[in-house]
Amino acid sequence: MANTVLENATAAPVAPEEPHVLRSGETLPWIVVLVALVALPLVFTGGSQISTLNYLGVMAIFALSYNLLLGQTGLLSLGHATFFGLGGFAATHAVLGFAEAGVNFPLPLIPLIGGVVAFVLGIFGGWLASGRGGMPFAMITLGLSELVYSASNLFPSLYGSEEGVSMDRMDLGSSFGMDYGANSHIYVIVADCLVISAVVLKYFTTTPLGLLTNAVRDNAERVEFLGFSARRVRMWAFAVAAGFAGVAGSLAALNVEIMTVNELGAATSTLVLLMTYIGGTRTFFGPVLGAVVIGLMRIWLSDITPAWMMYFGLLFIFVVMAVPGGLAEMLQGGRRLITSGLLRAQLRPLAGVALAGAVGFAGTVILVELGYRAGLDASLGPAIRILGLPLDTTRPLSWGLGLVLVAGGGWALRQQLDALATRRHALAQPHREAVQ
Amino acid sequence: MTNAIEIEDLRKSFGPVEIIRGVNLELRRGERHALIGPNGAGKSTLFHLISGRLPATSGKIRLNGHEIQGKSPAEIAHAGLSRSFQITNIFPEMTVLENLRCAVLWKLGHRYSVLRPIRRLRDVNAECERLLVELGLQDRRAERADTLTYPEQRALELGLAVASGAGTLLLDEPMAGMSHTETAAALDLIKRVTEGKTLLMVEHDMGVIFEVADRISVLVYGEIIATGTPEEIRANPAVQEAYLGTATEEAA
Repeated sequence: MANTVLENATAAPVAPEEPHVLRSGETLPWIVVLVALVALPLVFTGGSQISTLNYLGVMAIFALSYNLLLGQTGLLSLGHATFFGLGGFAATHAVLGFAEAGVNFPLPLIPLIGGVVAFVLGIFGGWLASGRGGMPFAMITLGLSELVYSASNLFPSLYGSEEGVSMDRMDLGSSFGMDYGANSHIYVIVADCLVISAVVLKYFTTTPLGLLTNAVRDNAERVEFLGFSARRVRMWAFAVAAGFAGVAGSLAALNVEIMTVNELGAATSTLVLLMTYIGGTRTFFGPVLGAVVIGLMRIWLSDITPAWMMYFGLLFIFVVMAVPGGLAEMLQGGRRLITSGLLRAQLRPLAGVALAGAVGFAGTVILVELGYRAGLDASLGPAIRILGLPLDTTRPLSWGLGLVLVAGGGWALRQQLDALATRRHALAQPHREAVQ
Repeated sequence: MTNAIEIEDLRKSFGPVEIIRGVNLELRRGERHALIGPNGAGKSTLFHLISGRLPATSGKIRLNGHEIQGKSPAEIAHAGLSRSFQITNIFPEMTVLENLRCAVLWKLGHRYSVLRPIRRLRDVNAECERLLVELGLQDRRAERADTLTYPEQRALELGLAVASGAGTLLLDEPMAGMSHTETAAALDLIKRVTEGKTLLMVEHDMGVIFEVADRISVLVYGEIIATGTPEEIRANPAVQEAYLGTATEEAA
């Protein structure tokens, strides 16, 4: 409550024009993305590091496409990976086909093929799934994706056998002054595709059809009484989202030069859902943020701890419960706080929240790691170093430490959040009067 | 000249219960027609049947001479009928301007277009501008619809119905839940924005009805027991017995 008062009080006078055109708050993420795309390969120059960047870029496009369904049209697809995978297979077979035919097709245009194939299949899938939104839509997309996944057994020439279909991206020869042997060449394609995809998807939101997707999300029934078919709006949103998922899948195939049926399975569909939601569905670049954070967690955290999936789940639960607007909204809130000039006055309770949260988190880490060592990794012995502390799964003191930290941190967090709310309430009152 | 709406022996059953029991109704072009009746008489159901939200069990509905029963809400909208809802039915998370933009897209022929950004469509902008002024919402254009006051939301609800440019409008209790002063303002607004259109309106406020309606139909237990001018309806003994008597007692 105090939060909303604060936001209202600090909001600039509402501009009467154009609520949806680029505002200053929307130009900053574009600048950040562009700068990051140029700067990152200069900082991370190693081959495998570039490959990681490629992976993050691919996931960013994938999540952006998914948000056209989830955030914009209000559709929960449980099978978006279908089009990621089908686009990837289309791209892989295109490369193989052109190579065999000896056609020097420029490699950077291969994602276009994957995208168009996925778009066309998306029209068909969208037509099937879009009769209604909500639960029926979610179930049909789940069914379709299982269907496509299990069809891999029927068409081994298309999907490859268990090891998938591999190709050599250098087979198409050089174009645009690159031979595509180095990962950095693929990075150029990924980065360009990310920018183009973002621009096209952003443009889509400004068109009549883009506006209608929002209308269908808000109130599908009323859309019908205005003369539109909600099904058709959903179908087109589905097809466009599928098309860009296909672009992402194609890029994934180019990056690792292999495509397997796992890419179009339920795990990949879940991954993109989590990335998009954690990043934030109500902000255009939220999904990109989610893709980067989750992508890095998958890569780095899995090196550090076997329990990385657990942290992944905890992060998801945290976002759903504490910041439903996602990490992007959290950042925006922070930015508003800084520009409001009220940060100094709240610094103490904010620091208290951070400290209490850190203590509780440390306790959680200790318990999770001890649990994993005692269970799954028992063969490695009971002694384990967690956060620099020498702990032991057989000693009650180790478990006790974790429990105390979790309980103490949780209790302190409650107190500090109350203090912060009180503080904000106090700050909001005189400020509001001053504005009025 | 054909009537705007002609309804012939329209029936609707939910399971064994017949809610609309053989309704016959004619709406002359350009008239303001009020539909009154006690709670549960089937007024909203009749609206849902005409606008395609519910399928009729039997009977015929003609809009400007074309049969529309069994068609989808969208098809009926294309045929020139638009409606508002008793419970506010707008796009809550979109701005007022975006709400209106959605409502004018079809008649201006942009439909599912992706050819140009909507803010570049001059005809859409001009039409939305006109509507904003007409509805008195020009200062609220950039607000999310769910942050509007109740009368403003009702005005937007009416605006969505009017914006589609349909010649025939069904308004389901446009003044429900409003105070006296708000009702007066809303009535003014309705008269202004529905100028020259055919209007069928459900309303409970008798003062409003006798002021606005050219003709009145009385629906009781799924049947129309009388249709006529306000004077005729006031003088009709069957209506007095079935409806007006109890209604005035309730109001008093």
